Amino acid sequence: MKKVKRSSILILGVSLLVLSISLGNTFANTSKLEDTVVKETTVTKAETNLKTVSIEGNYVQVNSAKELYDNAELIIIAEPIENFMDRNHEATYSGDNSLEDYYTETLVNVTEVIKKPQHLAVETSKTFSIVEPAVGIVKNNAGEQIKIVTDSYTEMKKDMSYLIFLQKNINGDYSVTYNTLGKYNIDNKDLDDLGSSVSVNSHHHAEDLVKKKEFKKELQSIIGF
Amino acid sequence: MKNKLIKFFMVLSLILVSMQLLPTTSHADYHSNSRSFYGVKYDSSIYTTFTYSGVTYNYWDAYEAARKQWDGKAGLSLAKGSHAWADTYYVGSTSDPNLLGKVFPVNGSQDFVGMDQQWLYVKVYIYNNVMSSYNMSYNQRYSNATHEIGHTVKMKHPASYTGTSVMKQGIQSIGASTWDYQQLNLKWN
Repeated sequence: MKKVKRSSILILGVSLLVLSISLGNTFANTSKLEDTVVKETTVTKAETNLKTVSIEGNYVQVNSAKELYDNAELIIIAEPIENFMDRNHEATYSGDNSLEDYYTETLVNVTEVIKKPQHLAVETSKTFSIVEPAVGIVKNNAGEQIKIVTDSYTEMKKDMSYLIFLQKNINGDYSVTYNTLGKYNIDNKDLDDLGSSVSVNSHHHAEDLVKKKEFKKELQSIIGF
Repeated sequence: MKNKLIKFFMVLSLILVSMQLLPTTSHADYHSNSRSFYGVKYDSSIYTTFTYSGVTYNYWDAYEAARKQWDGKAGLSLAKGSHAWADTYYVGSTSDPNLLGKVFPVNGSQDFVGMDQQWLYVKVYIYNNVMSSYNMSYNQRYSNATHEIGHTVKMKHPASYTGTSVMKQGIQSIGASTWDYQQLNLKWN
């Protein structure tokens, strides 16, 4: 009888221990989530009110950071000087007035030029206009502005520092390459860039983020930022 | 009574441990929610031509072959028509130097919506300037059109599948694979 009682108490004790560990983990995960929410990137009020629509595209694939480096015509470290809402947002439409393409012109202050075409006038400590082709602002049917993004892209933020890979586009402008793989926040202020902000997780593709983290590590050894 | 209480705690513990160990989200390779189907129409831009290895092709042929990859599969109809809410296929150009195509889903209020929402129709674009800059062949452009039309039936870029799929991103020369059709059936049947 005593034996049964002892083993029952032992089983009950182990069960309660497992139960408390499980509950502890659950609460720990919840508080981690709350921490992330608190750390969300600061954006302007107008940006916060903007509805974001994310659509999927088919991108040419790049398999290594070395390939990303080699394919870029221009590589700079730079900081956007305007808030996203204050930038120039362009859209093009087809013959029947359907939205065909969108992009954002982002003015940046160049802090370092890593690779450039011989005759391109891009200099350190001067501003340069680049294109973020995977994000734009368009109007929906009711005339309300919406932010539209392709795949996992998030716009570069004012006064934050980025390593940016660019190629000349159809309009002769320098455009960020390969969606989110073409820009890396290097001062770790932009929590959206590697998907650590809850606000952008809904449209981040997990596989893109894994690739981006690998590329960032590889780029740190190639470029040394 | 005591035994029942012990059993209750043991079962509860097992459930909670399982919740911790098992992944909390599953990764289906198709988008959630549904959509309406009012057929497909072609914009005049699909008569754009391109030249590869000295031979001239037009996008009408590529789109037509791509549409047939999905039409009638899993009980879905992508038949050609002229309804105001039919999906429309376009050939365009983009400021993005590495983007081959994308889709714009629209809801019942005629507003753009995300991939996991309810759709009324979809506008499909493949980008001639980028495909030409990569000197893509007819088969590669057809494959790109098949990929984009795959999105119109809610197919997603595969998260971790390593086999053959037209829904993988990048330049390919294939149509929809057996696996793609399996995903389509999982989504719609």
